[in-house]
Amino acid sequence: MAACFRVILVLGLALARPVPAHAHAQGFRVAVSRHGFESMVNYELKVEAGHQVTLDFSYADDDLEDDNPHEIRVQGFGLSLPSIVVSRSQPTASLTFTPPATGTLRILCVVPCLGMENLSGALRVIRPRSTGRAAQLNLELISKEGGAVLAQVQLTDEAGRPLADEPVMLMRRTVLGGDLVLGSPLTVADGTAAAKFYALEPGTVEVVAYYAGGGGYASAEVRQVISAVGVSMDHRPSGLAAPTAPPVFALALIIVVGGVWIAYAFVVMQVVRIGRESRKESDP
Amino acid sequence: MNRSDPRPHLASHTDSTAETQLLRPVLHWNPGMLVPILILGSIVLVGAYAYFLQLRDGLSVTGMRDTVSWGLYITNFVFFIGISHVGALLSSILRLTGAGWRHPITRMAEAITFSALLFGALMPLVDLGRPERALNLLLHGRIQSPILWDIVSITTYLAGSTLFLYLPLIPDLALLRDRSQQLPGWRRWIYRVLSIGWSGSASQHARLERAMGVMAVLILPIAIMVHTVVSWIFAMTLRPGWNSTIFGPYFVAGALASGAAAVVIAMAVFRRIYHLERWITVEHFRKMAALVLVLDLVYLYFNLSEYATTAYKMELSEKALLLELFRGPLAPLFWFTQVFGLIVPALLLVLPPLLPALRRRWILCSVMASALIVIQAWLKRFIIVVPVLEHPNLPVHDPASVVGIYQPTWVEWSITAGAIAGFVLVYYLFSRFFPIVSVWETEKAERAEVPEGQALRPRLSPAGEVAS
Repeated sequence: MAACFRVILVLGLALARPVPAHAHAQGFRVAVSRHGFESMVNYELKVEAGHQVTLDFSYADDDLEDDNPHEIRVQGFGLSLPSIVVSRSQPTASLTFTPPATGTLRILCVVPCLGMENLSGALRVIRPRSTGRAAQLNLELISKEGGAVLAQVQLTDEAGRPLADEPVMLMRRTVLGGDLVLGSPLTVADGTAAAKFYALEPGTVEVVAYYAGGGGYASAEVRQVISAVGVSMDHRPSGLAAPTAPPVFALALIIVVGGVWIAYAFVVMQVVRIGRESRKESDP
Repeated sequence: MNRSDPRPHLASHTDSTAETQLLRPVLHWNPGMLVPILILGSIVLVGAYAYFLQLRDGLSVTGMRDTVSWGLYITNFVFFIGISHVGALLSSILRLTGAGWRHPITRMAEAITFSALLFGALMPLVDLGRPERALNLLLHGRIQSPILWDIVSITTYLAGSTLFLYLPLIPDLALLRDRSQQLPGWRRWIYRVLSIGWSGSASQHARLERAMGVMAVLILPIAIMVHTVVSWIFAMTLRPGWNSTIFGPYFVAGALASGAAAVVIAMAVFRRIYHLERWITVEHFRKMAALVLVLDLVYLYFNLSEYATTAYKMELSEKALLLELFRGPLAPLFWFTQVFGLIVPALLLVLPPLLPALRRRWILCSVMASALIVIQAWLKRFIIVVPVLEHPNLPVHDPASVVGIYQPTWVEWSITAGAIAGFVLVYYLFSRFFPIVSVWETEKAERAEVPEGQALRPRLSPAGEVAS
């Protein structure tokens, strides 16, 4: 039986910064079948943080002879949301909540079912959009020694005047599609802020700078890509992750276990000899 | 030695000796013994039915889901493997050091090892949901995986424990063979086959002692290896809560404490139901209490070391787990294991010699302490297994957003109850088929201590009081 037990490797954005809840409702209809969440593009929905979200689930396994119930949970942010069950006898159910912060909520069916293993997805909670005067962000990525990368950002208003004492979030795009927060520094007098990080792996690194807006300014976001050389270090754990067992380890295991079983064989041999002696004694 | 003598090694004794009294539960079955068999058998049947449902409907009938994929079954597995350590510890150490007081209790300990291992080894199969997939471990097993180490070490330990139990049983099996004329044919056949024609000759004794010596040396490191490997199933991962360097000795210490406590309970039960007061004396409880106390304190120390070092730092990934244990929903369970499962038993074991009022309550105190330690052992395994999975906190997770919830279903509880009942049932049946106290070793020890021609007398009062 195919299982819905699939660990979703979606990285939470984990922007701890709470966002104001100003209402505009966001509603989605999600048909649930053994083939997955049919209304979700790439099993991902985007919702804005701080706004109410309503998910209307509907049962879509009617072509099956047997009932194939789905128990759906939305997990994340420590939210304690009830499970939603859709089945032949209860074809629709809805869930309403307000994601308190940006990040990723997992949405998944927790019942092993007849279906595929992709009955899981993500609600990517994106940053709310502020309105107001335009703010501009310029991001520069500078390669440093030892694999370090300096991400330097400047925040200005539309006239080019620096905006000081404003928090700017710097994030690195991860290989799994999430954003790793590098820091949330305040801009200084010239409107600049910076964060340093290490690009351990060689390859392109995408950095996002985000200004939430406020105080009459609109939110702003900018992305920049740099080609990192990586850090020369063997940091991968060996052992379990190794494709094949280290020969020394395998040899040690064979010697230890083999030695024990040889000793067992010796003991069993003693038992056999005890039996043989008895038979000899009983022979006339 | 002359084969015509049916009891060549016990020739000088009468029916009032250890032989008759220790063999009575085996040779004289009565309707009363059906009561525990029926009760335990019924619980096993309920567990078997629950397992049938699980096989039919899959693991969806359990509370395990994707985040928490190990629950009661793995808790039981670690618990049973832990309990099983006692046979190796007691028998091996006491045998190697020549401790004379061991004779009445070594077989009890070895039989606990055997029964516990049977059900311990069964639990991962139950946890699989699709048990036939266990074959994949043999067909496609990765030698670098702790799961494979586990299979290898448990198989090795089960084979060793069976040998370790069987070897000192051989002379008693011969005794049963010679005394079982009134028993049904199938039982006589069992004793005849298992006794392998033992006649008690000097060369047979020499071979037996040699084999037992090898096993005594071998079984202790194997037992330690097994529980270390069991701990490595957890500790070889990066999961906060399991990613610990002391898990090996920590698990071994916990296993030894719970196993020794289980033997104390078995001693008290068999002493009562089989009237073994002459052989299992208060002195045995005092010695076992001292052993359990030491192991309990060692385990307490490991607990302190494990939790204090992580709690002092409160590293972010550990924090959610530790807070849940210390003051969250699992706090009552956690503090019960620490206070009532380790500290209170230590007091119960320390106080009898200090307080005159408790001096005559050695057995009661040691049994109460042991019961608490055994309960603690199971709960502690649950605390080790489940909360960590509920808070995965792996690098790919957002710690705040991934929280699993595990609530065992009646199916899991039934299978758990069935396994525990099955363990007790196998143990009880063993005591009805084979002498639970080694007859030949006990008589040999008594003969060595009593001058020839003098009647054997108990050195300690059978009423449970210490003789002056």
